Amino acid sequence: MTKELSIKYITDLAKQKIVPVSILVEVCHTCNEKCIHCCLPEHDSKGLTLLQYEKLFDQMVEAGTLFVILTGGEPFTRNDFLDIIRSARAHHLSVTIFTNGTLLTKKIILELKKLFVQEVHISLYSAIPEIHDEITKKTGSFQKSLRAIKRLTIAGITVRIKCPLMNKNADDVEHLKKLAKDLKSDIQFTSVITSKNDGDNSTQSLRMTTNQLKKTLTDNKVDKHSFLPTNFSDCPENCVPCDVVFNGGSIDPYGNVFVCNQLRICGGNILDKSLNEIWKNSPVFQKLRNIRLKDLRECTTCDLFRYCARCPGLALLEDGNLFGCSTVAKNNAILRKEIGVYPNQTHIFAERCK
Amino acid sequence: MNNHCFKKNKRVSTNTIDGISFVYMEDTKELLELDEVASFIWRQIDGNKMVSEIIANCINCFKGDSNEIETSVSNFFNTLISEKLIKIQENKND
Repeated sequence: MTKELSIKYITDLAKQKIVPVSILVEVCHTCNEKCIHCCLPEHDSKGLTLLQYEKLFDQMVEAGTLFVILTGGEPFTRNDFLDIIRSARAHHLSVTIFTNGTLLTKKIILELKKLFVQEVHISLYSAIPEIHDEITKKTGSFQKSLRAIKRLTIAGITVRIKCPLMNKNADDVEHLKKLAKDLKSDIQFTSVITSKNDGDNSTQSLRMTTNQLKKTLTDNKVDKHSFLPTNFSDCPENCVPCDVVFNGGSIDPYGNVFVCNQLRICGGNILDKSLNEIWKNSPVFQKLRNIRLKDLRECTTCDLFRYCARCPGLALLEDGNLFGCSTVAKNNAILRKEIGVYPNQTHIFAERCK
Repeated sequence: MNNHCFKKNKRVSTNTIDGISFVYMEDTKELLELDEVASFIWRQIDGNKMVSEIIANCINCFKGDSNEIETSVSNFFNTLISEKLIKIQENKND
C-alpha cells in the first residue's frame, strides 16, 4: 500500500500538477540585526495575525503544500511565532525555520523539538566573531547564533548554517567549513549578494572581488558544479527558465503571493483569494509558466549559456528584463568558463516534464 | 479496534496531490507515497471517525468482498500503528 520515495519525486510531481508543494512564508520583516547585505528595503512589517496564518495553513492544505519555510526578517521577533509553528504542525505541514538564532532560548528549542520541526537554518557569516558582528551590525550576535546552533544540535534538531559570501567574509570559507564540521552541522554558501527587493543596488558593492569569486566557483562545496554541461538548448520549446514557477511559492508579511521570494511578481493576496485560486489561476503566474527557453533570445545565442545559472528574478530586479541577460549570472558564467566547470542547479533551465 | 478513533502522529507531515497522499516522517526524514486505497483511508483518519466508519466507507467506495475489505483495512491500521504513523485518539477534545 505504500512506496518509499525521495523528496525530488514529490517536487517533480508537484511541477507536473502545478502544486505549490513548498512555500516560503515571511511572517514579518522586523529584525533584531541590521545585516549590511539584507535584501529587505524596510523592517516595519509585523506580518499577518495568528488567525490569518491559521487560515493560510488551511489554504495550504487545500492547495497541496507539504513543506513550509517560515522566515522573516527575524521570525522570533514575533511573540507569537511558536504559536504560528504550532498551527502549521497541527495542519501536518513540514516546517523549516530560517533564523539568526539569537533569540532561541532552551525553552523554545525544547518546544521546537516537541513540534518535530524539520530543520532550522541559521545565518552565520564568519568563524571570526568580529567579522560576523560587523556584518550583522550587532555586537555579540556571533556568540548568540553559535550558542543556538550548539543547543539545537544537542537537542537533535537538524541545523544548516547559511552563509552568503561577500568581500568581507569570502576569505573565511575554510574556517567556516571546519567550524560547521566541529558543530556537526551542514553548511550552505551562496555566492551572490542580491540587490534589495526594491531595486536599490547599493548591496552590490559588497559582492566578492573577482579573485574571491573565482576561488569560490572552483570550490564544489561552495558552488555546486559539474564537469559536464547540461545542454537544454536541444529542447528550447520544452525547457523552462526555473521550475519554481510550477511548484514553489512565497508569501510576504502582507499576504502577497509570489512564485518565489526572488521573483517578486505578485499573483494575488491571500486575504482576498485562496492560495489555490491564486496559484492555479493568476494570469501573471500563468504567463510566467508559459515562458520557455526559446523566449530568452539573448540566452539561446549566448556562448556562455551552458556555464550560466541565470535567475529570472535577478534578471528582472537588477537588469530590468525578465527575458534578458542577468549581469551577475553572466559574470559568474565567464569565470566558470575560465575555470572549466558548469553549474548543476537542476531547477535552472529545467525541462517542463520528464 | 473497530470502535476506536485514531489520529495522525505528531511526527508526521502529510498532504495529498491529485488524490494520492504523501506522508513525511520528520524524525527519520522518510517520504512515503500511499496508493489510492491507502490514501482514501489515510485522509479519513482525523481523530473523529471510528475505524468501523472508515471500513464502511471503503466497502461503499471500492468493489470487492466486504469481509476481505474489512481485513485489509484492519491490516493497514495495524501497519500504521506499528510504524507509529497514527495513535489512538484518547480524548476527542485533544
